[in-house]
Formats: sequence, structure tokens, C-alpha cells
Amino acid sequence: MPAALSVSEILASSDGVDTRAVATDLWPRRLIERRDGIAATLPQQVWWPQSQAEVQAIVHAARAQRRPIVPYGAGSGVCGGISPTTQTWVIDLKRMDRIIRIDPAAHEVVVEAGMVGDRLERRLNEAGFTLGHFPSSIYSSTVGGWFATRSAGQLSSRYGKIEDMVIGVWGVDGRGERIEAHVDDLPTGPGAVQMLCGSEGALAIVTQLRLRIEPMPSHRWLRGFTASSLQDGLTSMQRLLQSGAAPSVVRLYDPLDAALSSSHPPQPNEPDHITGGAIACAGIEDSGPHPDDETNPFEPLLQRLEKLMIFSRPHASRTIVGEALARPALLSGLLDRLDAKPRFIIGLEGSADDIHQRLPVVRRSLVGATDLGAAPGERWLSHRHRVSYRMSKVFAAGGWVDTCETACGWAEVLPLYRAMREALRDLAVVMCHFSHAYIDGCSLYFTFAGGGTTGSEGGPRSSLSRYDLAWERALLVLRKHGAALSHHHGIGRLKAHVARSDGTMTVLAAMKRALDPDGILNPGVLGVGGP
Amino acid sequence: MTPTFVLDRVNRLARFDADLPLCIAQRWLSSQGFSLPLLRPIPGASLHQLCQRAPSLVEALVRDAVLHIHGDSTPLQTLSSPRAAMGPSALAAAFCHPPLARMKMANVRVLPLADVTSDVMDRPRAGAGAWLLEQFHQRHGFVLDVVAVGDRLHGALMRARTATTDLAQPSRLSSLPAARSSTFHTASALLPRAADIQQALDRGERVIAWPQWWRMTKTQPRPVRGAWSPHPTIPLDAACEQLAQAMRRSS
Repeated sequence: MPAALSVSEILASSDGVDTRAVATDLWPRRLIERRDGIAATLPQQVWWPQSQAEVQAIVHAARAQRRPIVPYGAGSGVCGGISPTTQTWVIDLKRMDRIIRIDPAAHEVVVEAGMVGDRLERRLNEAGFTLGHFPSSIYSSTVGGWFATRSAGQLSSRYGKIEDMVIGVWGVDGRGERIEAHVDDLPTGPGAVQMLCGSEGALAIVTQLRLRIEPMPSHRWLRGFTASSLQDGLTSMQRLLQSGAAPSVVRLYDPLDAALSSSHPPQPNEPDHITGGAIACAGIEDSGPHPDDETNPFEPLLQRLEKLMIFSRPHASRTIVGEALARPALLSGLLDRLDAKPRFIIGLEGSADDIHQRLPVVRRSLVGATDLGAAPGERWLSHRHRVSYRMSKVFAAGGWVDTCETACGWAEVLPLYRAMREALRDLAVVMCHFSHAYIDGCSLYFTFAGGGTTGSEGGPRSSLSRYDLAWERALLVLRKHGAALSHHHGIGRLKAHVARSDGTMTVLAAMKRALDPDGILNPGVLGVGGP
Repeated sequence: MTPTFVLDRVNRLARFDADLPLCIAQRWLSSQGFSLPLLRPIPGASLHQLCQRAPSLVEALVRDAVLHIHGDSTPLQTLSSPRAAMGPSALAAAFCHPPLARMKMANVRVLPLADVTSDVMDRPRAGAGAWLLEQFHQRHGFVLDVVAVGDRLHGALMRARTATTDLAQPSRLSSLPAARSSTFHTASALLPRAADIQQALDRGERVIAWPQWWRMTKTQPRPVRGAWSPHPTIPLDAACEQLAQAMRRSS
């Protein structure tokens, strides 16, 4: 069916200022390249449609010219989902940011894909609801981006991942035709929604989503604990999830991660505080990007190293930090001597009565834990969205930082954790927290920082080479331990070469042939189509 | 041939043939001190049949599976982690309309009998939706299975033994009415709402909900005109083309 609209009516630009803004996402490899003077490939044009009909018109035109198309949300992806060629058209969906309807009776919201996360949550809060989806990128990610990458938020233990919230999807396929799927749709069945979810723009350009929303819980309880060992901490998490206590938040930080965050003394006699207000909405207004805040987990490390410098010259501390990160084995050895215990944050939501009922179960689940009182939990709550905004200091110091999130069964968690740290020891300092816990396993979120020579010359000691080698080893470890290549960041191009060999990609490739016969939708992402 | 069972006690998973009747799987699990997360009566259907009829439950009930694509002898192992972000779900794809693959073997989520118990609930149907969810949360529930007979609600809640709430009644699972029809249809993803449950009860539908896995389904008392019925597996490309057409038709 021909599109009714002409593309000449749609806002677009080929200006370098505009195309540069959508040429990459936040894939750290691109950040290293930029710092080292390697120019980004700019797309041919960027489009800003305002409706599904306009998206259709763009796809029709692109198909006629056999141009690759890349949908763009807020650009906070970290896996290279946005990687255009010079022929690519980028479709920036941020002008499609309307809430079509909030249905309080059906507990549903229908929202356009370009809506940025915190704006949606605030609108829902005004209506007495929450989506329950709080990725740390909430200020810089869109609803469509969440769906495209199977995103997870900090309260996923209670509200699920985005694939558990979506009950309907609208989009445009590679033929420029409208498509639609709903969980209660007889012709396609509920599986069709899950076929589109996580497709990273390779099957369709998602334009609108129908999501399940929840009434905001009235009360919360947050508490910090230390664990006597990582094994005890993981056992506690497993028991807690298998107890039926349904926590909203369970986060366990490994000793290094715990050592670099604020310390809290034991508070064994502090009574339980059940506070009015849900975890779900708290902090959205207050915890936005603050320029002077400790946001990156490596930021305290940077500051401590800087303080050690007595005779510092301007910028010398950064040089030393860069040098230190280039010797990660030495740095890891020093950091391992820090006397720190793993730390928990546990949170419950519900009515005050409901929380009281569940508290004994939570406490019975903990093994070898020391109570730190409410302060660590409340601090986490007020800082929880600040993590995504301060990578630049590490990069400016000549280093690099990335994150690798995965998931596996409980029995494999500790072996995988140890293997990853060992595999990367000579390339990066590695810390980890465990969150997004389930009855049968949990997610491991590794943050690793390394260094190397800077500049565009390359070579085996360059930052880029060491970064690539770190990822090669990390992916091997994941494969060896049967863990997922990603829990909630997606595959992009970073992991595409490994994902390509996965048997399940047979199904994706067949679906792409049906929905995108010319292979114009984000070719190469997820290891299907493209180079 | 003796069926093959493998029990993973740490991760609470049982691996068995997807064509095996669930009652046989349940018998074996009971002997090992575990149970399927389904309340009695366990459907006589196999796991594959249950997933075909109640596709919204698949990703809750099954962690991972071996799938067979029509005409391709290479078995396809889906991701063996509790959750992932590695593209579309191959497990869900197996139960699209038409199905893109057939389930042969699966790792199914199970519950240890030592840790769970079941409460039978019998009360007026009116206002039961909200009450049931309240009970679910207060009693640390895993599975809710309810049906209305006339103006009465009959249901059962499989819940953690650690729950502090005392039982209102002793467990009497055998008194739970039998499933009235095998015509399942899907309901919401995510946490079931009280209104969803109440509406289903008012229609005489049976509700099976696993809120810890954000899924529920309903069974209808009688076949519905236009309702989907199980499809045979067809060649993958043809199945994908049909699914794409269905998505376009839906629009």
C-alpha cells in the first residue's frame, strides 16, 4: 500500500551538526574512538517524524532507494545499536512523544515510542500510577528504546522487565506497512509481542506501545546489610527470592563495589522504618543529573587517587589515573587488599500491614548479615539515577569504562563472577553487583575499567585494542558458563558476532525475511543482515 | 521407554519431555519432593499442549527448551538463563500463531513441597478479585488458581510455608473443582489485576496466575467462536510469513 504522505513534508536534515548528533549511541568503544581522534561515520540524513504515517513514508522512500534505516531514541544504548553507514537514514523518534491515553480502569497506558522515561513516569505518578520501570538511564532513554533492547529497571524483582509490562505494540515493518500485535490478540497470539520485543530495530520501527501500569504502593521499607562473604550474600538473595516475600529491590555489591561507596556503621538496634511513599516514584524529581555528584562507581576511586598526589600539577592526577588504569593487575591487587564486605540493599513496597507481614520472612532469609539500618537504602534511593552521567572523567584520564550485564542460574553465579574477574585481571579493574534477581537465578552487572595508549595510531597496547580484547574474553567467559550474552542492554554490534552463532537466531533471521525482505532495517544489529 | 527426568534442586528446575503428560511429570516430581507450579487437577495434557493452549504462561512456566523447527533436524536450544536481552524470544516464537517451532524438551520451573503449601478458598464470588490478590501478597503466594461456581468462588493458592499468616482452613486440594474446559485464552502480561480476575470469574472462567512471573491465563467454560486452536508446525519461512501477515491484518 503506497504511503499517503510525501517525505518532503517531513522534517529532516543532512547538516553535519544534526547527523553527528545521531551518529552513535553511548557505546564506550565509540567514546574511545572519539577521544582518540577517530572520526565517526555520519549518516546521510536524519528524519524527525511525528506520526506513524510519516514513519511509513520514510520507510517507503528508503526502500525505493535501498537505504539502511536506523531508528533512534535517546541514544543511551551501550552496545552499538546505532552504527550508520554514510548511506543510512536515521529516524529520530523523539518527536513522537505523546501519551495517547492513560486508562485507570484497565491499568494501561498507550504511549508513543519516543517518550523519554522520566516524563512518562511523572505523568503516570500524577494519575496515581507507576510503570515500575526505572533503568538508571531513565532521563536519557525512550519507551521505544526500552522495548527494542528488553530493558530492565531497578525494581524488576517486583514489576518485571519491560517484556513483562508490554501488552501491545504498533510499528512499521521493512515494507513500510503498519503492523500490530497484542497479548490478547487471537490472530497472532501473545508470542508475537515477544517476537518484536528485543529486536533492536531489525524487524520493525516501533511507533507506539501499550503498557500495563500499577497503582502506586503506599509505603516502602529499605534497609542495608553487609554479608560476611559473597557466598553468604548470594545464598541470602536466593533464599529471599524463593521465599515468596516478593521484594522490590535486592542488590548485592561485591567487596570492591562496596568499598568504593559510602560507608555505614552497623545499626543492629535501629527499628524498622516503614515510610510513606513508594520506592517506585521516589527520587524521580530529585535524582537527576547533578554535575558535582559521585555518579560513576569509579569516581570515588579517581578521587582517592587524586588525593594521594601531594605534589600535583594541573592535570597530573588524571595522568596518574590513566597510568594506573593501564596497569589493572597492579591496581586490582591493591584494591583487593581493601577490607570490605559485600553489601546489600533490600526494599519492600506495599501497604504498611503487608510490609510488616513480609519483614520476618526477609530477615529469616538472610545468612551472615549485619544490619546497617535504613540509611544505605535511602541513600541508594536518592542517588539511583545518577550513574549514567559521569563516564567522561575516566575517559578524559586516558582510561575507559564499560559494563557487561548477564544472567545465569544460582549455581553458576559465583563461578562466573570469579572467572570473569580472573579473565580480565590484566586488562581491567572489575567490580560487580548482583541485581534483577529471580527464583532461578540472577543478573550479574560487571563494571570494568582499563587503560592503554591513546591516539589514533592503534597497536596492541592502545586503549581500543585492550578494550576489544577485554570484551572478547568477557564474551568467552559468558559462553563457557552458559550465561546470557546480555540481561538488559541488548546485543547491538558489540556482541553480534557471538550472537550470530546462536541457534535461536535462526528464528530471528526467518522473521526478518518476512518483515524486512530487503534487509534495510538496522542491518547488522543482533547479527542478522548486514556485514 | 522410561521417561527421562532431571531435577536441578538449586535452581528449582525439572527437565523432561514436552510430550509427556503432566500428570506423569507431577507424580515423579512428588516422589522427589517437588511439584509443578500448577494446582490440582494437573491437566492431562502434555507440557507442549498446555503451552499451546495457554501461550501467555510459557515464559513463566518454562525457563528454557529444546525446540524443533519443521524440516530441520538440528535441535534449537533456547537461552538457559532466567532472563536475557538477546533479541526476540525463541521460546515465545514456538507458541505464536502459527507456531514457529515445536517444543521437545524443557526445563520447567518447579516448587519444593517442603517450602510450599496450598490454601483452599471458598467464599462469595462478589468482590473476590481484589480479595484474592490481597491474599496472594499477604500469604507470599506463588500460584493462584480460581474458578467460580454460581455465586461462590472456589480457588486455591499455592504459597510459601514461611508466610506468617495462619491458614483460615486446612488444605483440601482435592475439593478444588476440576478444570471445566481446555479452551484457554490469554490474559494480561505483568501482574494480574483484581479487575481481570473478577471479570473472568463473572464469566465463569478459570484463572491461573503466576504473579511472581508476571503472567496469567484464563480458561473458558466452552469453546469460543473464532478462538485460536492449536496449529501444526509448518516450515519456518512459511510460518514467519503467516505471522507477519497476521500482524499486518491486526493493524
